[in-house]
Amino acid sequence: MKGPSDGLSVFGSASGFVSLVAQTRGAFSGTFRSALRRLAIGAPVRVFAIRGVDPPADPALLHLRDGVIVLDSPRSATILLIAGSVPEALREAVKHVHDEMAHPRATVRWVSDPAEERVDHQAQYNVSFSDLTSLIETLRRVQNDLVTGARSSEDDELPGTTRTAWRGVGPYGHGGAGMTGGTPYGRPMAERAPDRDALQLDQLPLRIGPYFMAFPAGLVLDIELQGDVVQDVAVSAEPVSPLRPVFAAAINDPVSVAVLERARAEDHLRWLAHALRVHGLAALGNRTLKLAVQVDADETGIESSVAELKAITHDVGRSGALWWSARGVGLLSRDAMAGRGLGPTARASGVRDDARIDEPAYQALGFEPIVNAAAEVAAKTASSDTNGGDTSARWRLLLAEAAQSLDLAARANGARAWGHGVVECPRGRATAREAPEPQLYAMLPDLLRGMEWGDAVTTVVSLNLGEGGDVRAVQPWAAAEKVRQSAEQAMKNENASDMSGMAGMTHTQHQAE
Amino acid sequence: MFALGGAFTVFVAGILAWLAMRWVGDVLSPVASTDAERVPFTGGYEPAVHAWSRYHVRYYAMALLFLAFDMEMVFMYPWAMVFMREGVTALVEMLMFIVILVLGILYAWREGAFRWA
Amino acid sequence: MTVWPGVVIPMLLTVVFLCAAIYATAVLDTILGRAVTRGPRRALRMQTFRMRDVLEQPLRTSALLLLQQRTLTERPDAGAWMLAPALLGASAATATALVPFSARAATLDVSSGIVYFGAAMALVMIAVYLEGWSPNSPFPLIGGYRFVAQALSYEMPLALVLIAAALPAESLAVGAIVRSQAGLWNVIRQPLGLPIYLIASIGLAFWGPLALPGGEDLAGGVRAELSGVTLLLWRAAHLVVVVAVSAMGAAIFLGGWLGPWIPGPVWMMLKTIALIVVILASGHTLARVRLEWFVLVAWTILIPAALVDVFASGVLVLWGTSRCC
Repeated sequence: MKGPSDGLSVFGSASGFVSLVAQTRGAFSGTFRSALRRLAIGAPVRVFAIRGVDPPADPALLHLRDGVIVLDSPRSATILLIAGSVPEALREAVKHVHDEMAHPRATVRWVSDPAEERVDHQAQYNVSFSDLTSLIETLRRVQNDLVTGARSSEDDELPGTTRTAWRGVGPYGHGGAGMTGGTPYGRPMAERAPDRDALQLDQLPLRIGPYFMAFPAGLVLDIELQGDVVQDVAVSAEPVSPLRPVFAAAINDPVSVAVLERARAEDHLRWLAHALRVHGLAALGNRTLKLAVQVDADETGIESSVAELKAITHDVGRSGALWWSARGVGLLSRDAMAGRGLGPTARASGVRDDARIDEPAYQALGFEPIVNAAAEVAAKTASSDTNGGDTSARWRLLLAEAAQSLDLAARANGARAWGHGVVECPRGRATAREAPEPQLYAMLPDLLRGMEWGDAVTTVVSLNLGEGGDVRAVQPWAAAEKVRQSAEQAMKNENASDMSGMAGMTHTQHQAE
Repeated sequence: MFALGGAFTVFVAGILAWLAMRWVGDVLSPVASTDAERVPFTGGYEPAVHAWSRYHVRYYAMALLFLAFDMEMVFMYPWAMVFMREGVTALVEMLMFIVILVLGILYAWREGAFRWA
Repeated sequence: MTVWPGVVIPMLLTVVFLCAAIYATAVLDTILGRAVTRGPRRALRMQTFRMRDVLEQPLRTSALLLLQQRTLTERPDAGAWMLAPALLGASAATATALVPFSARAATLDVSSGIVYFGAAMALVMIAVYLEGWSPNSPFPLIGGYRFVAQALSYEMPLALVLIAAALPAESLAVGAIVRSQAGLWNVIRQPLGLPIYLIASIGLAFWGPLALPGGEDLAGGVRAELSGVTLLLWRAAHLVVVVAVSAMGAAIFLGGWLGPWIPGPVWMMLKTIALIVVILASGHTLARVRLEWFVLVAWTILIPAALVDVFASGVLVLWGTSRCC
């Protein structure tokens, strides 16, 4: 029976003890937190990069810098880097990605000209550097400000929830109704669908969105996933990858062959670097990216680039990427690729399709396109297994063509080519009106159907689809609409049966009286 | 005798250490997620359904084969301890056991248990 | 029973060792990654690594992650999500504690050490699966199920090569296996053992070529929904698994604490670091495998090779004691 006036009871009474613990905890966390802040100030900047329209430079170059970590998932990122401007159709997706980041978070927009900023996003940092070093300085400063508290974390872009009320509704508080007890967070559970083993198992309708790191920015795939096998695919948004300036210029005016071939080698190497990164070879991918930058800058001369490319080819061959990651994955048959101007993808399938064959400047240099010989032979013998090119063949071709382009660039000696309306760009044959990628996007559904998810990603990465960025429109998601309607129908049925049950009960009650 | 308790103690101490660190992290940066922040990341859109589902585990045949080999492993542990003492008998008997199980692998291979996509 | 020397000091030593080991592993990983990026000719110039930055980076990133919020997903399995990194870390810590660092010093001196190691291996599988299941998100879910397939495939070769090493020792205790190598290390008299062990332990540690649950084709997979302290704890637990398999491999195949001129624990440390470097290097030079291909190779090549290893070692042991042939 100790009262608060008793001298010893300040520690004896429960509330006193609790407040003492809370004070110690507060003091401990306060000093500890300030110590951690001092330690965290020099940490590498955790960035989730979004590629938009017309970025000042390729955000993939951030992989080469030591002070920045470019992440696959926005969850643990501190800064959302938006390179270029976001197309209208993808604003919603950017807002979702922004909200999924953990606090403390900030957005940095990297545009060519701040005056061009069209988005109605409450941007707090608009930077227009064209060199990476200044950008990284800004990123570091923003992260340090977030860590020390000098800058407050950004609020959500999207409102809390627009879904129908589910909290507290129904007997379990999960929105009531339905066999599975409701729809927590407004989402039902997956429904069953027939599967190949003569089973009926759950099928997840998924929308793999525009900012999935392995795909070009802006590619939206609506897939039906059963287990880890893709049962159905639809391309809901096709990104538009702009041609490199040299190739765009070459459509109308003759351009130096050396410049063009160096640009082609650089593009192939960038694409290979991305593919290597997706397959777990981040260090080798960075090495390839460094070579691409070196080829583009053309400061150290062609010979060292050629030697480095040979070393990289040797290392890629030894890494198993061409064997256990890619052999037999994503086979594109020779007939499907014939005569469509699909560039390296077609040549890897054994089709001798290259607009450079008819160019006099290239003929003078003795140009002969690299074609996957094995696929050609197999087609002649009508063997269905290797009648075409798989991912391994496409990568081998990228490496070989990069070496060939460097060789042509070294021997070009001022020759000029193109200027008559068509050009062989790194992704295929391009004219003023037509790019090669839409044909590949049209082929994706049939190609990916029935593949395991990892193989599907490998296949998409192996097709030269460009880096993406701009998207014209995003198709509505039919599967999600169907799921929502069937969930609503189930809820209506359950409510209706409840009603009839209650009516029956009052009837018997009435009778009992 | 202490050894069994020792392993359990280390295990429990490890779990408590990790949980304690998590608690420290929650004290330093409190958790408070709004609905918009909770949406799972699939690239930028909200999911249509919850991910929890009756996932089609296509390697179930391989898992059954693994069960058989797991039991073989259990038998091989005490066999390893008495092997030198028992001599050739032990070797030959275990060899017969293993050959039967390896025939099981060959059968499963032929039936496509290792191929599922 | 005296508590201090018997219980608390070994546990404190294990804690200190693990903290130092995961820090060293993180630093080694960064250095190896930069070495591969620079290419062979320039890799050996140490000043290009900016060692001070490399040494500070794990500490600074850990501090940043502690200050970052732990995000939630819609309707996760909160209890399992809380336990998954703890389960991974505790299993790996137990496995490390099983490895003796000298003839007298062992945190856990059990008479059936490699059986406990097998148990810890199974718990790793459960921990990674739970980490994939708990967030109720598609990418981690696929990662978790992939890891189960991978785990079922590497467990048999791993257990079999350890049993092969137990044959000459007539005991399942790790200390006894080390002592049986006093004449010749197991890496030489059982040549198939260490390669198979390395492949299986890279799978157990889901590193590099076998990083299927956390791969880039799943946007980070099992790690995709982690942030803040949970990401830090998961990565720490992951590194402890790497250390655990390296320590066990050093004890079973590289002769543990045996070796001339320098004291036993130092030898043990050097051998563990050697295996850690091999595992980390595989992550930077080998591409991620396809799951189907790996399952096929594990069941049709690795298990038969491990069985050959067991029976060849058995014949060799009997030949040595003149009980056969």
